[in-house]
Amino acid sequence: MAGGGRPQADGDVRERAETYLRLLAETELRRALGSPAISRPNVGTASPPLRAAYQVLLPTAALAARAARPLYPLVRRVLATRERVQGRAAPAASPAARWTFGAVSGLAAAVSTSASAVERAGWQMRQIVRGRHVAGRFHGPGLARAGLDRVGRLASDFAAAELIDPAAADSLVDGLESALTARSRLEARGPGWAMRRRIGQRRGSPRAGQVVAIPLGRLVTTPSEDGQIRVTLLALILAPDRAEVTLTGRLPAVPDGRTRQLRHRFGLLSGSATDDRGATYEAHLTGGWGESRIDGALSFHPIPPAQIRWLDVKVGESDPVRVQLAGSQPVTADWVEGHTSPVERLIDSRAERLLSHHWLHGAGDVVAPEAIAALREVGAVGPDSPALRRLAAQLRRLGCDSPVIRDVPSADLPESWASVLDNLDASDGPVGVSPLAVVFPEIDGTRCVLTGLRSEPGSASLQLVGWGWPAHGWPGRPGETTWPSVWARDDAGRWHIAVGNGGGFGGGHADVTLRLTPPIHPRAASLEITLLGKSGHATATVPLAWQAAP
Amino acid sequence: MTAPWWAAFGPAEATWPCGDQRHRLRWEVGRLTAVDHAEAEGELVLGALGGDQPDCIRLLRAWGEHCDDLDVLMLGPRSATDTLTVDSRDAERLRMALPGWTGYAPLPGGAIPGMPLTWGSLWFRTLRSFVVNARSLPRGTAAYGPGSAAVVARFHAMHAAAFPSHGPGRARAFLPGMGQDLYRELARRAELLELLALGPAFQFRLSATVAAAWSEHDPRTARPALTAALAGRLAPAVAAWLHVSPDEVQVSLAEGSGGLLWDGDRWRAGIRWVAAVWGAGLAVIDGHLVVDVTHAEFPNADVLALEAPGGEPTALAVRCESATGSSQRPRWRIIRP
Repeated sequence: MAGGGRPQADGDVRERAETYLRLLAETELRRALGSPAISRPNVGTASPPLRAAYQVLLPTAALAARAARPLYPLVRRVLATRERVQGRAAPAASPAARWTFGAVSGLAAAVSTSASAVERAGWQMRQIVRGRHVAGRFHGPGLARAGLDRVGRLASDFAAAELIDPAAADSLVDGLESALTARSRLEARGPGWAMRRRIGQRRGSPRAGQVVAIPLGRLVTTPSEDGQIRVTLLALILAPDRAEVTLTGRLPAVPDGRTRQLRHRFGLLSGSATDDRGATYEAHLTGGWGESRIDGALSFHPIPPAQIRWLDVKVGESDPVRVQLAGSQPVTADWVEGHTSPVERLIDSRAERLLSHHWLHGAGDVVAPEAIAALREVGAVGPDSPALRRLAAQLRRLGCDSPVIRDVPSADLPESWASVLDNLDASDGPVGVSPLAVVFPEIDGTRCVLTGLRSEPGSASLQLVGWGWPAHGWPGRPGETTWPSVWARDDAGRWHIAVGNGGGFGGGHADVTLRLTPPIHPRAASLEITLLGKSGHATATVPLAWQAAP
Repeated sequence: MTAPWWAAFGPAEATWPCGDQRHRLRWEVGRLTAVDHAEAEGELVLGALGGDQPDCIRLLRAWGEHCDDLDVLMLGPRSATDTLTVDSRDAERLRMALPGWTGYAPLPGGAIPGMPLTWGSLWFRTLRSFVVNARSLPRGTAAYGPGSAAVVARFHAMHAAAFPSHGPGRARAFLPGMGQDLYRELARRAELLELLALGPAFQFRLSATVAAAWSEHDPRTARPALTAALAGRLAPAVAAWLHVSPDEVQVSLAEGSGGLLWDGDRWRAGIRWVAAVWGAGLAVIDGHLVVDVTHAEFPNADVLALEAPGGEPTALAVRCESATGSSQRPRWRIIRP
């Protein structure tokens, strides 16, 4: 871990940074103007049936979807009830009640089927038009999009380095996007994007005392079309704005040539819960799954109140697992305040990213050399910057030659970085799962709970439930908070750097799988986990209680 | 510069659907007028009070609202060959992204077709209209129509204590802090797209209006945006003049209202160059780069121009040869060196 440096950029540097960004936007706009304009989807030249379908289906689909949306919860409930009673003895009821139930469930099925069909048809029509667009009938907007992404990335970096106000950076990127769209270099966004963007905005984090975290470590099995799904329930998280049970597991193998059956609308798994007062809750899976693994959380709705004593959690069709809430005491991390220069932290975070991606071809690009060059050009850092010197040392050790650090002398690598680099080829990690429940304080506008560690010979992963953690790898918005760095040191002395490796994001909530590099030491019995941000760092030490991995 | 910024601009005219008719909007001597609305100022005041506004009047109001909006310079044209493809449908599409109707521009007809107008929404719209229209007018440059500035100014004076307005003499801009209300931004942008949809002649005039408004103020936090606005327009002009890539042209924003200068390293100009020279289509004339307009009375102008970088600017008399009110870009010719 590393830190230190000047506290904040002065006004001149900030003005130069914004000017640099705006001039870059002008350059990218000019560059895009040199490319051919895109033609708007013009169905006028299409065949009459396609033209008619396009004109009729899109508005119809939108209307149908909009009209049916308020009915969805009711429709789902009615259909679920019909599914339950199908194939069983009919409940004792009057003929009139049975007729009413039949009529209502039939109507619900019709609403569901019709709305879905029209919505699907509309979606397919959009895909046809978009497909033609991509296929070259309409010229592609590649150059403009690439330019916009370049400006967006640098705006995000400058905002993270506090060189530009996030709102100004956002406005600048929006302005360039509008300018490109107004010249037909980008496709205009469809209606609804503003709503999606608002939904994606960060919500405030809950206070520390409002988050209940209980380690579970219970193995459950539930059948699926492809075979048994085995998952370990890691922890229950209960906060005023969300209730989740995190899990990690293994999926049954799918025979060659077959695709995995998605049993539920939201993916592979669903769940439910009942509390001590008899209230019931439904759950859907958030997070990610691959060919063989599943890492994520069951998110419950509605959110159980904090006053409940216990919760019976059911995953799919498994037996319920009782979770006692009363008297639970999660591990809380200790907070040490220590302000770091945002610019230095940004450069360190780029170097940390390189530690996790050293194996990539062209790993030097991971540090975003254009961002480093821009920081140097606006005078935010110079060759004497400690962070830049650390980065230079790291790049040289990895054999990466980047022009942005050629004149920068190397510094000594921090112990943690050197440890990671020393163990990059390790593949001696233990195999197992260790449930955790570590609540971290708010760091740079984010909060999180670490809920479990899964270890394998070549790697390890931490399961994180976060607030204010934006999705990395997506087109990030400059106003979004960046992630704090997550470091871990096992009691055998091996350091690990964590990096996001998939997850579910939305509404300011995140369920993230963090990949640790290198793997856990085989003799490790505890783990010291540190979250490092611009405003300080928080550390917690947890014992590792290994269980067999599912 | 002694000439008003708009002195080298010819009049421009466009037609716009207003109700079930097409009405004329005319720009002349720095002002936009709704030719077919004899009582434009009265309708404007009614609109400020929350009443319905005809489309022409709504556009007049929007022009005034955006006459110092830096977004105009971000979206607007950079050169005569930079063609914007916006039309009124783009504004409609953007408005569709608004949940319900949260835009602050009053709608034609008073409500979204097919959506019932509730007392709550009516009250909200009336309040919003008051607040938005209570903004003070920018100094001197843009007006909604003949004499309307005084009428609206009187209205503002009457309600100055009741409704917020931005500080006197301070131009509005899309600046940090304004990005907090997403839907308000969308409504603003939809309105701006409608103005740009009036066509290239109006796009250049609106850009020049904004540049002129900012040339009278201390740019302060807007300096980066103004520098980019200047560079985005000056670099293509210098590049065309010198036959180099625009990326090779270095530009800085100069303080004050002086003309364009070459300091041996980079080009320096105040944002007024964009208003008075670039906006009028005077940037490059017959192999000369125009640095300043000293006197103008459309279609004639006296300019200072460079024949080569590093040389002394020479006085030229130039004349615009394109037709008055034409939507074509102005064609200037040297008539007397």
